[in-house]
Amino acid sequence: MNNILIKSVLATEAFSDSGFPAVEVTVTTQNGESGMAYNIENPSNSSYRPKYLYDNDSRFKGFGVTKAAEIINKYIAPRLIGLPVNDQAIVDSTIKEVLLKNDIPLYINVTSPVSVAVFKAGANSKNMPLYRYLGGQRAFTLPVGGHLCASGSKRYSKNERAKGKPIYLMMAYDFDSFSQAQYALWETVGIYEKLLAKKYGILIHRGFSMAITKGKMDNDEVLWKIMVESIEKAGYTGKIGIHVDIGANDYYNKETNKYEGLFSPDAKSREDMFKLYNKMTTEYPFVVLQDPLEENDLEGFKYLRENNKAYIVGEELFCADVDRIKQCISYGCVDCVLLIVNRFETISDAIKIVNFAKTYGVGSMPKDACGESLDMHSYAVGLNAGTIYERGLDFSSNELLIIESEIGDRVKYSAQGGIKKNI
Amino acid sequence: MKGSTIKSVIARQLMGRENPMIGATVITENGAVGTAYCTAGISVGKHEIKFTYDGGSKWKGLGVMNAVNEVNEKIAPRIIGLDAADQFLIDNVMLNIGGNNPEKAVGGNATAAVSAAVLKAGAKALDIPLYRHIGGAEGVTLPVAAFGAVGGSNRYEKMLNVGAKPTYSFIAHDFNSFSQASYALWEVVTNWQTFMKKTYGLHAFKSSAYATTAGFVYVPPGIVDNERQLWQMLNDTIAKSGYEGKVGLQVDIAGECFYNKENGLYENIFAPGGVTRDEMIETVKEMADKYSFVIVEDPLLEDDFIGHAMLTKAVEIQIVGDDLFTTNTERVAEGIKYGAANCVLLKVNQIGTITQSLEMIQLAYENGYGVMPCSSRGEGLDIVDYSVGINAGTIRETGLGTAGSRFLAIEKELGANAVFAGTSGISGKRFQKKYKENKNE
Repeated sequence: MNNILIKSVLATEAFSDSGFPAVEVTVTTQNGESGMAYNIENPSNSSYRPKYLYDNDSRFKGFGVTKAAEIINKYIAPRLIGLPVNDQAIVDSTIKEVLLKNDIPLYINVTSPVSVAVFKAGANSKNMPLYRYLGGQRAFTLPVGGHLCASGSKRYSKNERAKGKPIYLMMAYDFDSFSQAQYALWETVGIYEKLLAKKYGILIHRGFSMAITKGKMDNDEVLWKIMVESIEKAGYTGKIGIHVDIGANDYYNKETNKYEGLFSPDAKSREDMFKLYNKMTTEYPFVVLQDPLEENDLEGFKYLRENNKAYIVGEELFCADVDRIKQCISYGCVDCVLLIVNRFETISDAIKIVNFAKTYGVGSMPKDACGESLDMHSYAVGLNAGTIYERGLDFSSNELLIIESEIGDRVKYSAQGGIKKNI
Repeated sequence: MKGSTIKSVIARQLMGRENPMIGATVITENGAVGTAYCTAGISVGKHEIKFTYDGGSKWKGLGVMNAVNEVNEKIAPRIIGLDAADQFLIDNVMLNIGGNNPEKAVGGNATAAVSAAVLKAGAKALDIPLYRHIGGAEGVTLPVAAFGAVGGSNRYEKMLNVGAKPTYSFIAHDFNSFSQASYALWEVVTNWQTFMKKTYGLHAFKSSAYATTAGFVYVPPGIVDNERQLWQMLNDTIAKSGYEGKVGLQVDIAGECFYNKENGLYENIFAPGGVTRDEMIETVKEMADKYSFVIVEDPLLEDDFIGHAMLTKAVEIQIVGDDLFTTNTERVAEGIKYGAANCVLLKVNQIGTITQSLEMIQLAYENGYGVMPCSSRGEGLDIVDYSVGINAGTIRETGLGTAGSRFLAIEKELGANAVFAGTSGISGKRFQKKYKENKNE
């Protein structure tokens, strides 16, 4: 095999869709191909938040990333040029080695965008789709995706931390193909939006704002009922369920040891939460609970995983802290790891975690949060992830529809298997 | 055989913002790939071109498998083997399908998706950026930088068919370069979003690679008594950010949706109650004079050429026709006769083919009208390249996010040849005057 070599690596500060600047890296190869990656932080309130480098000057309220771009251009680029673009292991270890040698911490917005840009350039250099480059001939499953139905954090309290959570998504899991699941979601969501508007006077705009504000309902059970009604009306009972991204950590009050303003105005103890989650999965069709408890309650996560029917997903529980993820997986806290690829030091580290999880029967759910954008769909297919955060309907699902038709007859929809508990 | 010769054409049914849309991929002999989409808008003007739909009950009749079949069966065999770089030839082949029999012609959604895919594949096959393929050495203008500020309707009365209108946006215009303008825009937008979040707990709709037009904070009923309070808040944010006179405002009204045929009044747009056409014109004048509005879109009924002409004359800022013109050459020609509006909203994929879009743009330019690109028909991020390629002075909300980064990349690539449209890039006598004054200094 003739090695295709890296010709150039160029980093710059760019706008991002999150509001703060991104590190943009473009890698070109000697056979005239290129790969581009963006990295942004999308700060989490988790204690396991990784390290990022910011300029801390007057521009962009301190969040400029010219220093990060400079480190890439000055230290990393010269060492990567001439390396084989398809040898991700050498590339990723070189990135880390260069920084360590120069006493520079492994900032995520320095290491990750270079690693991902090389990876994408590598796929392009072989003229392969990204999912195929990532997953080889094994990449043929389409994930179960959801569609955002409601968000909003301040219905019952003035929560400044929760960033729109709980976020509710409808998930079409009992279907033969991604397209069929999408059609069912499309029908159900249409009914749901009409019900909200006509029966309950709540106007939302798809793809615009799904926030349900204060004063619209006494507690979230009202919303659950509307969702159930829509699913029933569409004729998909037992085929479409609800994924809720709770972010319970942001509702947890350490002093009172209670969850405050989550789902309803009353404060809830840990036991109250267990009971409520039990109700949600027996009386309502909740199939995925994400971050159901505060981040230190590993015992609680384990209890839910073993006793609740829903698929337990962790995000803020460990953010992208590799050791913490391994600890939580081996302790049996989660059924699935929310996978934000660009939060790991390198793409190799992200892949390693997915494989580690698989050995424990734990799945991964890719999410676009830190600049992954359209690549996220390729990650989901390439890693046979089983599920994906959102992406069930609207513009964002098109990458998956295209991949579905590219793979052709061999394609398999993850369906129930995507959210199956392996205990 | 040339490398840019079309080797294959594939069409698919995909998802638009709410309903199915068609996607087409064109591949050339030298391996260049161009993919484009065409989707109908949320509100479809009555003068828009005809799309092919499936009818029946699936997708409520809005499936586009018939359009997909039109591409695969009628268009593909006719254009495979032609040169993707020869846009005019290919578009004409598509438009002539069926000859004079409109029954046998193919839908506007089928032609639009293929036409744009051919354009993109052509650029790649020639190994030049898309904006250069469109505009050649002449396509060097960076538009004023814009981003969403407010969306959400029904603040004064529940009306089901108004979408999220009126929408408001920030326009950063009085700067020396796109990078300077977009940075100022970032400051204003960030201050605005922080203010709305802290004061009302309201969040902005984020942009993404597939929804480049964004930034709107959805303002529900109960926050303000009338829109003047909202305008004042927007103005204050600009002033506090230190950009008074440099960053302005845009409103997209969609006046048609608020019009009550029975009493002839525009109802519940900016305040509870109805107003006459004359009062609407007065209001827009007030917005331009007292507040920082520099662009107003679709202020009146979409067939009211006379009213639009009166308004354009009275206000002297940029009056954009979207539903008024529906990117349709005949409608634009009609509007020009009256002097209705002074800028045409360009939904590239709405007109049917790239060739027809370019003809419409030419007609507008020859008559002193501006052209403002908008990405609501599936153009996505390509809208940035369209904008630079046609030297547009203004563009809908794409100054930040992924689209903003694409503008920055093009600005860098053009180097010393890059031209920033600046204030004079906005249509309307007020801004042209300003340009002349500056020249005399």
